[in-house]
Amino acid sequence: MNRKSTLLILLAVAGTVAFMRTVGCGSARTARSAAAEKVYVAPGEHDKYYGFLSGGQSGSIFVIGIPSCRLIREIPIFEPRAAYGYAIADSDPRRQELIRTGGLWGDTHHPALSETDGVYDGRYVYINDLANARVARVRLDYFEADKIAKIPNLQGAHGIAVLSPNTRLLVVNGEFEQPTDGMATNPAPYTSVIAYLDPETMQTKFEVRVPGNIDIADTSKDGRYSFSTSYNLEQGKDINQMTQLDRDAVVAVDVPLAEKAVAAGKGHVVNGVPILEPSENPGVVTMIPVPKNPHGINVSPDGKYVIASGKLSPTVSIIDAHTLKILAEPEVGLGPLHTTFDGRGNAYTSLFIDSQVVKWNIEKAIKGAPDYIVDRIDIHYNIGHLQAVGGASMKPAGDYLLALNKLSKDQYLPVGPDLPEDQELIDISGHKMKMLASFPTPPEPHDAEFIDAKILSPRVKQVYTPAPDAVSEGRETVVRTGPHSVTVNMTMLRSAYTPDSFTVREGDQVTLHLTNVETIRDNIHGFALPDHGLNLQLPPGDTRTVTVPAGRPGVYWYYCTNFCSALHLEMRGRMIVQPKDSTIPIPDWKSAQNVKGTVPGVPSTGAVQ
Amino acid sequence: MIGGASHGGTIGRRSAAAAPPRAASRPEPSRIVSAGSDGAIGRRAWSGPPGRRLAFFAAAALAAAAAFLPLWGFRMSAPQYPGESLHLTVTARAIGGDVHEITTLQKYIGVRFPTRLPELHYLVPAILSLAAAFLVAGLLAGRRRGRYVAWGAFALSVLFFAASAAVLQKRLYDVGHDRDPHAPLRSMHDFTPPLVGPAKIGNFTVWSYPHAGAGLLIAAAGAVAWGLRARRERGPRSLDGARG
Repeated sequence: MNRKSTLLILLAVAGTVAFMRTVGCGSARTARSAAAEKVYVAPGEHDKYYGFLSGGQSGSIFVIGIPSCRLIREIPIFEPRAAYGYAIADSDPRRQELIRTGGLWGDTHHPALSETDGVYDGRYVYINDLANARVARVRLDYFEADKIAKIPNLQGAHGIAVLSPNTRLLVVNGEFEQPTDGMATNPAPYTSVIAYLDPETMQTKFEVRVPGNIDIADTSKDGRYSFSTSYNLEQGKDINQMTQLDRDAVVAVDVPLAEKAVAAGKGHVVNGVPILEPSENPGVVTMIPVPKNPHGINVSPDGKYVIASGKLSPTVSIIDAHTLKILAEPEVGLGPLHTTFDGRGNAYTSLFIDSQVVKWNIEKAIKGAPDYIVDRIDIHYNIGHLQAVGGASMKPAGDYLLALNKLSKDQYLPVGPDLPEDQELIDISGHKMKMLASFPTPPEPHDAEFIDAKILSPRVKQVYTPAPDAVSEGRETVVRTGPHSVTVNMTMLRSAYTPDSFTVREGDQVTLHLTNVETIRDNIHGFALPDHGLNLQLPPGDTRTVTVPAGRPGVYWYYCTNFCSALHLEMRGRMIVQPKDSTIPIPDWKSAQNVKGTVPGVPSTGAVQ
Repeated sequence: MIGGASHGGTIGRRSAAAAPPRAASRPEPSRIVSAGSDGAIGRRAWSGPPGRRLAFFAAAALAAAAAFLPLWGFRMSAPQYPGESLHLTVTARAIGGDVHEITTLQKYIGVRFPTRLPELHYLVPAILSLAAAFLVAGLLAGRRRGRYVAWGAFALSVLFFAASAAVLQKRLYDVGHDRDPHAPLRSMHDFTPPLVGPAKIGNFTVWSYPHAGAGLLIAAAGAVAWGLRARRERGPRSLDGARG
C-alpha cells in the first residue's frame, strides 16, 4: 500500500467519524435546545404556573415558576426568617404564636390548594407541620400565613388534603401513634387519629381513631370519602415489627356518616375534640387491605379510582372510589411511592428504588392488558413525590410533571457534604416523557401543587390596605405610657423614619409601632435595631408592633435593611438610651409636620416646606 | 343655512318691539328686507345664524361643567414604574392623583410641591363667570347689544386661557427652578415642563396635557367663536343675495 492510498483511507475514516459525530451531536443539540425552549421564559415575561413546593424542614413554602423553574419567593411559616423579618423579634406576635403552638421550626410536607368545584380557586394553600401537629393556612392574595392551628390528640401531622370538590373540610393524618389516653400510662396498643378541620376557622371539628400509622391523604372527588394509607397495622415499634404483615390498609372514612355520628354525640371528647371510635360507629371506617406498608394515595381526576402505591411492593392497588373494591394490582416497578395524572387516562407513578417515573394506562392495567406500561424515564435520584400540573384536581393540564427527588449526588457543582435537593421538570404532553430541566433547592421539598397564573395572579395584592391602627404621616408620636414603658408610633417613607430619633431610659420597655406609609409596590422598608434582636421587614402599607427592652445606655442606630431608594443608606435613626439615674427630662414628642397646606389633596407633610 | 327660517322666526317674534328704531338706524336691514330674503333677520340687527343661541348656551353648559372636571393632567413614567405611570390632575378645587408618591419622589430633587396655590381660589369663580358670560350672550343673542356681549365673552375666554397658561407655565417653571438648594440631588439640572408635551426629568418622562375640563373650556370658546364667525359669514352672503 503506497502512501497515497494510506492517506486516502485515513481521510475517509476521519471523514466518516467526523460525519457521525456531527450528526450525533447535532441530534443531541436539537433535543437540548428543544428542551431549553420549553423552559425558557424571557426576562420580564411570566411563568404559566405557580408551583408551591413544601419546604420540608425549612418549615416554609417555596414558590417556583413553571416552566422556568425560577424561585420567585419563599413563604416563611413555621420558622423565623430574617430575610422577611418574620418572627425574629421576641415580642413579634407571629413568633409568640409559633412558640404557643409548638415551636420555632416546622416540617412542612404537603401543600394543599383550596378548591372550588374540584379546581384550584387560588384562595388558600394549606400545609402541615409534621413535627408539631400543626396546620397553617396561607392566604394567596398576600402570600402569607394567616392562621396556624395546633391539632389536639395527634402527633406527626403528615398527610393533608382538602375535601373535594369545595374544600368543605381539611383532612390531616396522624402518623405517630399515641397511647389512647395521651398519657403514656395506658398499656393498650397505640393508635392514631385522622383529624377533620374547618378550613375557615382552622378548628379541629372531630377526629376518627384508626389503627396503624396514618400516612398520606386524599379525598374522593364527590366529598364522600377521605382516603388514607395506613402502615404498621402490626402496631410495632421497630422496623422488624412494622413490616411483618403481608397487608396493611387503605383507610376510607365516610365523612358525611362521621359528621352525623359526631352530631349525634357519638364522639368521646378529648381535649375539646370529639373522637369517633370505629367499633362504635359501623360504616364510618372501611379498611381496604393493600400490600404492606403502602405510601402514596391519589384519587384520579375523574373521581373513579383510588391509587395506593405499594412502596415495599412493586405494585399499585387500583381501588374503585365508590365501591371501595380493589380492581387490580398491576406491577409498575420498585418502590412505588406516589401517583399523579394527566387527565388522558394515564397515571404516573414515582419509583423510589428504581429512580424512575413510570407512565401507565389505568384502564389497560385494570383490564390486565400486557401493554399498560407506556413509558419510563430516569430520575436523579430517588424520587419521592411527583406532581403533574393540576394532577390532584379534577382538571389536570397534562403538560408538565415535577419530580421531587431525595438525592442529588452528582447533579450540581459540589458544595461540600451537605448536598442540595433536586427537582426535575418533565414534559408529559406527548406519548413519551421528556426531561426538560432540573433545579436545586434548600432542604427539602416533599410535595408540590401548581395553579394556573391566570387564576391566581389577578387575586394577588402587592400593597397592604393600611390597618385600622396604622400610623399615618403627621401623626407620629413618642409617648411615655408608664414609669418603665414608652411607645413610639413611627412611619417609614423613602428615605426616612419619622421620628428619626427618640430618647428612652435604661430599664424601659420600648414598644415600636411601625407603619410603612408607602403606597407603591415593592417599596419595602426594613427596621433593624442593633443589639436588640430586632429585624422587621414592612411591605408598603404594613404595620407591625414589637416591644424591646431599652437595653444598656447608649446610642443605637436603627436602619433600613431592605434596599429601598437612592438614600437607602441614609435611612436611619437613633434610639438614645439614657442611664437609669439620668435626670435629663425626656418630654413626649409629637410630629411637628401637622401644618395644613392650602391645596386640597396635597398633604403638607409629604412636601418640602 | 339649515333651519334658518324657523329660527329666524323665533327671533323675530321676540324682538318685534325693537324692530322699528333699529331698522331706521341701520341701512342694511332695509336692504335685506327689500331683497325679501328673510323678513325676521331684516328686523334684527343682531340675530344671526340659527345655531348661535344654542352655541352660546352649549358654551355656558360646557364651561360650567369644566369647573368640576380635571383641567390639566400630568403623566409621569419611569423604568421602575412598569405599567403603573404616576398621574397628577389639577381640578379647579384640588390637586389629585398620585400626590403622595410624587411628593415623596420630589424630595430627592428638591422640587417644592406647591402647597399654596392662591389662583385655585379664583379658578371656580372665573370659570363660572365665563359660563355666565356665555349664558348672557346666549340670552341676548336676539338683542341688539348681544353681539357686544358675545364678543366680550369670547374675549374674556381668550384672556382666561392666556392668563391660565401663563400662570401654569410660571408654576411649571418654578417647579423646575425654584428648588430646595439642600436637596440630596440638587446637582440635577433645572428643567421646565412644557404646558403640553413631554419633558425628561431625571429618570422620569413627564407628559403635560390638557384634561377633560380644559377640553370642555376650549370647546366652549370654540362654540362661541363659531357663533361669532357664523354672523360674519351670514351677513355678506345675504348682502350678496340682495345685490344679486
